[in-house]
Amino acid sequence: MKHRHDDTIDRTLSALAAATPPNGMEARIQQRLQYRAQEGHVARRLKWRPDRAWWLGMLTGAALAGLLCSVVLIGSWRVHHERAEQAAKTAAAPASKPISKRILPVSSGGTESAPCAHPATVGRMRHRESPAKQTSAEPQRPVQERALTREEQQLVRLVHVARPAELTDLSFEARAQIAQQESTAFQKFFTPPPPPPQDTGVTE
Amino acid sequence: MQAIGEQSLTVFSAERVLAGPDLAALARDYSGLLYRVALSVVRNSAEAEDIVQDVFLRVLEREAELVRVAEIRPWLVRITWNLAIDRRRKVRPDQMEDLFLAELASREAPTDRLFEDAQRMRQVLHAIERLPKYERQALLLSAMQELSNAEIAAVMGKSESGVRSLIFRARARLRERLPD
Repeated sequence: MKHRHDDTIDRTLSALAAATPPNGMEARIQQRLQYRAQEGHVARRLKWRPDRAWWLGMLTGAALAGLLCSVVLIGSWRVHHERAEQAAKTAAAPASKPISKRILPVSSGGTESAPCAHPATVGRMRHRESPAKQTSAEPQRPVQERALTREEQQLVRLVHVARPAELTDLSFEARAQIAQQESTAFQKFFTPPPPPPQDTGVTE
Repeated sequence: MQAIGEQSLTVFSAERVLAGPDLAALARDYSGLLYRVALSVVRNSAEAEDIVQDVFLRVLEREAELVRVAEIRPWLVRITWNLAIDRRRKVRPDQMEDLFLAELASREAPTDRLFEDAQRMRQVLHAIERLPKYERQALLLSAMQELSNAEIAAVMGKSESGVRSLIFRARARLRERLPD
């Protein structure tokens, strides 16, 4: 015998069983699955795999070694280049034009001269260029030529105009020799003076 | 030429077997059933659809294990049921019951009896909610006509006779509890 509530129960259960999914649910599920599958594919590609570890390590090591070598080579090339430039400048500068001298301040800040400075301060100081390096890097200016004195001008003229015999006469030795010869020649005109009388010891 | 064709067919079949069932095909075949299972628990259309999507995302995460699943339909229903129970704990079903009842009643009854049917269904659903856990599960899954008792037994991890007994007791309890 069927109970009077069975009909209501069956209708409720059949209503639950007859529910239809909303429109486009299947397409939305497919779309979400596809999106997630792509994400998962990317994640799997990026995932660390132990069987690839050895060559990844080798590759990384080689790249780091190459980078280190490049840094060292570039550094040494720069140092060499700077030295060569400096040598070229020194050779090109005339000997009569020395490097300008300048008195530089000992320190620009108080921290440099402070004893037992903080390591961070020391690190900053190392990065600054030293005063000597700054001076050497500056362009060399020629020293202004002062006007020659009158004596100097005459000497210069003499050097350029006078004959070699005249220039030789300017030598102290030559002049002293000439003076000696003239003195000897001059003394020849005079008879030597008579010798002084000998002292007999008798007084008048 | 024929040998090459046979060989390629064999390779293709082997690949299909290794790859397991296609997810798109699974979604096409089972999304309706899973939606109804989820709806019977959460009683909200949007929530039910969200649960079905979550089910297939879980399946995607375990795609590699799909080959080892012997009975795919009970497995999917079990996942759906568990997810729906979890979701029902977070969402208050009382807030969504009126709309759900209106949908159910409109499918079943003519307009003049709509309100009366909705009230009766509400009573039945409340009574189902008060049933013991396994009796409620067996009754709701038995409502899905696609599932046999053997499959319901596989979902619940019980024997077929146990499922039949649970359904019988659930109905008896409902009859007792429904008001005259």
